[in-house]
Amino acid sequence: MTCSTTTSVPTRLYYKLVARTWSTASPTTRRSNAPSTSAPDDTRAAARRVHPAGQSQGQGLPRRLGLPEAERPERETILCKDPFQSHDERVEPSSALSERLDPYQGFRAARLLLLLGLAGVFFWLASGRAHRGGCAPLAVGLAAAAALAYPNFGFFHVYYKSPIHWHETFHYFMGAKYLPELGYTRIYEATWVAGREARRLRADPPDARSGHLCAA
Amino acid sequence: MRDLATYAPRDVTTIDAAAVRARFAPRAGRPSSGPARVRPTHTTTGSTSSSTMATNDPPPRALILHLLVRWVPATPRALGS
Repeated sequence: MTCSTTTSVPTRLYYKLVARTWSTASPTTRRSNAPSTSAPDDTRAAARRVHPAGQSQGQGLPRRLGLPEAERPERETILCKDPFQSHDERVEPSSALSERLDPYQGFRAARLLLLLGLAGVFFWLASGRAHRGGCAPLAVGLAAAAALAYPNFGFFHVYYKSPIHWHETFHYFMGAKYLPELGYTRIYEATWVAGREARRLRADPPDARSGHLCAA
Repeated sequence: MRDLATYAPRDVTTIDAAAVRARFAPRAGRPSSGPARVRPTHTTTGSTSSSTMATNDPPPRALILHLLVRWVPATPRALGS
């Protein structure tokens, strides 16, 4: 999901008014406009309380609204990774499309482009306008691209940083090895029990002399 | 933990560890690989428990694989690590 936050016209006008007020105000006026906890007596009181000149940078205002106008970006795009997260997990905007995409989304996009290319070649051949000599290199190139697309173009499983998908391997090996005991539905509960026993064994290692478990 | 029979989340406190252990009675001729030689290196906990990280083999393929790996000890090397 992509959210767009724009420094709106009223906000810019607000800062221009505040900046003009501070640039024309006398030192006496500035002292009198010092932060106060009392209720505002005019419409500019709230603006004076949060002006960055009287506070550290950004303090009192959300995000970059506390920056001087010259340092504020005209437009800021924020990428919300998950709107349902309890904490704000926003990331800095990026101009490159490849940096915005999840690696697996990038792989899917590349496969989609390959598919579109294949469809184009299909219609090109179907139209009868293709030269026979030009088909062979194209076919070889598409076959190579298709072969590379299956293992994610040589990146395999990006998050595992390995050609092996560990979770699948566990299912395939342990589920097949203990198929009579586990059936199709009991691999998780058996793994949970085995994990608890393994943790208990690590906490109480076997006695080296007797080979039995030490007393807890 | 996901209950694969109903595909619904299941409280792990409802697991009967003794019953699970009883199903793993030593079979004749099966080499014992030891209980703690394979440890899960990637655990599924917390917020990711509801997402599917892997899937079971289809039963026919699991049966074929069972014939291949039933005698292979469950060691980290066998799992590729």
